[in-house]
Amino acid sequence: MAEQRVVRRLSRRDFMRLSSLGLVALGLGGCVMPTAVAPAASPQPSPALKKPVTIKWAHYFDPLQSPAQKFNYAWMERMVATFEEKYPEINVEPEYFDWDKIDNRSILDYEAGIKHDVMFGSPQLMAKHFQVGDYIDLTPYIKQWPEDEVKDFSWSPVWASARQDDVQIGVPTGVHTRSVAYRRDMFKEAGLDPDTPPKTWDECLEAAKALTKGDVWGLGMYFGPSRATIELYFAPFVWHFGGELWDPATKKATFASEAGVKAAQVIYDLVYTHKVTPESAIGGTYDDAILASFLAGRLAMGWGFGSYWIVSLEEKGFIKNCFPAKAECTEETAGVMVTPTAPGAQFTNAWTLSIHKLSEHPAEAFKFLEFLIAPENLYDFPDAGLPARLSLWSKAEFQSSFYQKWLEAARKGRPMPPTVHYPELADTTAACLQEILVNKAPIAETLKKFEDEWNAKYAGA
Amino acid sequence: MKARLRAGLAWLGILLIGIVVFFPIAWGVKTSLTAPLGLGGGSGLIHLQNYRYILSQPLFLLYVKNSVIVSLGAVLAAIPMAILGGYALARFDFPGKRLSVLLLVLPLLPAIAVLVPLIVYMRRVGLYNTLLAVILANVVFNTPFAVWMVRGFILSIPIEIEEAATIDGCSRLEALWQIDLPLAAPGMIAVGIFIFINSWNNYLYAFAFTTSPELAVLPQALLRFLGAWGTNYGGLTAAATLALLPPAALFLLSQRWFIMGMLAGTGK
Amino acid sequence: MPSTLERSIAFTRRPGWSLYLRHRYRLPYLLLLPVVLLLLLFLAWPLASVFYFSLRRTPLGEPSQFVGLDNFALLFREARFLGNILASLQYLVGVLGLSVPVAYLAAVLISSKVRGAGAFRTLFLLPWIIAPVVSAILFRTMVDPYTGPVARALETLTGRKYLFLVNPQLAVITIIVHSAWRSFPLEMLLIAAGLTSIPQELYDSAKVDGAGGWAQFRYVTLPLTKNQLFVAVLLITIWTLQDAEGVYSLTQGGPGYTTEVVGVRLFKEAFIYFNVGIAAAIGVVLIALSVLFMVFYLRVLGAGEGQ
Repeated sequence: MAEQRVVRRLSRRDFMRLSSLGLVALGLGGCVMPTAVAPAASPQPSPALKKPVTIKWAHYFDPLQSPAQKFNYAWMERMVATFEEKYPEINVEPEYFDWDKIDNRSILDYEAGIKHDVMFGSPQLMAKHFQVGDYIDLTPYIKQWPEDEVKDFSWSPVWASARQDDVQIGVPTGVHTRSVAYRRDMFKEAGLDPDTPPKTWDECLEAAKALTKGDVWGLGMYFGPSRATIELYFAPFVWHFGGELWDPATKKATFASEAGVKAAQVIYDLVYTHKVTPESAIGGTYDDAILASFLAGRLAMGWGFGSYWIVSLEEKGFIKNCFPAKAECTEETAGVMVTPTAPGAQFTNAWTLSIHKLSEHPAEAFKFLEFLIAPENLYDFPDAGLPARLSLWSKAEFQSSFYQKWLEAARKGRPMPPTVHYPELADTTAACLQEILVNKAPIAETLKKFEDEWNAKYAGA
Repeated sequence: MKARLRAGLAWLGILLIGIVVFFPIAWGVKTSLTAPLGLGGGSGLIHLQNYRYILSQPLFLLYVKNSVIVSLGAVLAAIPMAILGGYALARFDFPGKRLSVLLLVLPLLPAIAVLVPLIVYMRRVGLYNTLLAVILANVVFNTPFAVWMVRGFILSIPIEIEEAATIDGCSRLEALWQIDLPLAAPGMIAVGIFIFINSWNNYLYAFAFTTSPELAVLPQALLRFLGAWGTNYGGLTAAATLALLPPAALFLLSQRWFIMGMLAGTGK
Repeated sequence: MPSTLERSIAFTRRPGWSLYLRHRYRLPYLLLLPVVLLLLLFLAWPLASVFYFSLRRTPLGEPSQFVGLDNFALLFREARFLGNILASLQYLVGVLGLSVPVAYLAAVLISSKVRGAGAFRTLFLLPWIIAPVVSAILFRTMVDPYTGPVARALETLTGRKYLFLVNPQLAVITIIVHSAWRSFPLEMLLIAAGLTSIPQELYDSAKVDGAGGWAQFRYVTLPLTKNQLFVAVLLITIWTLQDAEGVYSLTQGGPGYTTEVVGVRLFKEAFIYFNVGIAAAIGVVLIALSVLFMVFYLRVLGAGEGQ
């Protein structure tokens, strides 16, 4: 009977097993204790060396991340070391947050009373930061800058997105922009000139048709469940056709406008009418749909190709001497073109640096912020691949045609609409596009339905 | 003949289920053994770079440590409570016992629904952003089930043994300690493992109740391989395979008692 | 209405309050005290606050205000939220419908006297030991149309491309299979526990009565594993209903809102959009759904209580 089996004292063998179990548990606990000091946590300063001020730096450079991150991580460590050397009275303690949660952490921790100092942030979420008030106004500090210094930054749209009513809460560090990456070899095979890639949307579409054959898709895009969908694929076309996603005057979503319908139609046609974009673009991840597919040779052109992926092109051997940037940078197997949409019809952002409202040492924090964006330090900040300071662009290594195209893309870009409910707007439009693409739902009606649903909840903020 | 046919059919069934069960795991292990950045390369050789890389990261070991603290902490906090409560429910009649069904029902309510108020609460009591908060959440949502399992084990122990002990001069608690606990040891192990595995795999509580990076647990760390700069599937699967080892080892060592315990805990 | 007489009888039968604290009751109350305190402090209280929050609007950085049932009205007027509930029900029915029969079969197989089958008791538990976020990512890579082995194998077999996370039906199937894969081990274990506790004599006497394989199952096995089945179904139901991490890591609710189950919506509202009021209202709906299912199972399976 079952009960009898249960009602049984532990035999000696059982006891041995049990103790081995305990040993395993002990071993697990024991073997990790000595190595428990994370690089993220600062080394405990001995009392003699104790510094009067410690500031925290919230970053997103995970040392466990892909190889691209090792450059970022190394840069971060070097910044901390050189800063501490220069200012012995200030100690910097880096703290790591996931890149897509760092803004939310600032907001939640502000509400929870947890202090931070210097923090990275996203321009798309600045409206929310303004509403919550988790970043301090940097204007009093920036006012002391020479005028040229401000101009060196204010050329990029990121500067403006961190500004509301003369309050500046963030400073850009690098430029994240996108281009269309294309395979020069495939262009040649299709009888297209790789040196004169498409300049207009119509040319681009024709090229895509010519390039699509066999296992190769002419034009890679992504319409999956991520913010990339609105930022890099839907918004550029809405803007291209003269529309807006959101109206700052009424604070309502307007993506179901005539331009929105045209934009959705373009996307629909790419997949189903011209069949130059794979249907798989409706799901999966942005990285897989664009970067991995492009590197694996499944795409002749990859739209929305980020400047943060220059390193991957270099590692694959598609370009040479471009990362880190050198004057001899050449496009070999692949090249990039400026997104062939109307002027201003593309998205540019960056990581910004801000100071948390609960910081106890804002002056020291700003000193560190200034240090990070000093030309000599920002110059080789590897994350964006592209400098945020306009003056840095005149250096020899950025004169190659490859980098000049990126500069043009960065200048052309504009920010996302400053609604507090931007994450909801991004999710809503992505879901809407998927509904249109997957269920072949009527475009105008579906856009309207999703727009109304968004406005019912979030209009006015 | 018939017996052989039956055995054959049984093996066929096991095989089919086995394929479904093991395929994803095998796929994960295979991915972990391919070279990093192996987007196009398929040389088929075994590469240990991913493992070497993960094990050389002090951060990874920190996450392991946090996970061990949280899971063991939850087990150690929940088991005594479960023993006391389970014993009370198994051996005593008292007014209000019917209400104890609530013990079973309450924690079955969706944890995610109460997460937001629980965050506010944890802040108020000063536990927010501590591993203790994560342990507590795991204890809260696991203990009640543990109470019921322990109750089952104790019910399966004939009360006569305990009565004999009380006649010999043991108090009820001494009887629990000296008679029931050793007899219910397999059940305790089952409960412990149940809680350990649930806590080890839980992502939501650590995500909700901590903010400092050095308090992250393994499931959070694993998600970090899906970054904005391309997904490192090799690293992810290697880390996931390593993260699977402690619970799997615990489980293998104690599976006999675990199954015995589950049997007793739910049999009645 | 009970008569006065009945009431007074009922009253005298009820032990008085002083009786409650009599010596023989003190020990069990003391023993239960830690668990009860824990649950009151960390579960009952937050549970009450969910209802409180659901009646308020709490914008970040501003004081919250009472809005009555506005949050619920907003939700139930939304096609999206009704879709969320339907997606949850579909998900639940799919997971149970797929995992319970397989778990039952597996339980019968591993408890059979076939030599070596018992070893799979342990091995089959592996899916349960893997963290949901990890298994979700494994499944996502397996169905990748270009590199996933499942999608590739199907393509080779049928000559068609299968876009698992793009096609709504396939996306639903993917989240169901993933969750069923995770759920079946525990169900199997519980059912197997029930199977082993059935005395062989019952089968023997059933055979004497001329019962065939099916009849044995129907009249002996099934009734005697009802308790375990109840526990298994209840546990998996609650896990499935509140699952957010598994589905979110696989599809993030897409394509469109096809796989946006209530748990995922709640996760988004609470942790991505910070709409605390809406999130709490969804939490209330989720709690109501869970209670509904518990009551339903108690009625249908009648087992409950585990007496």
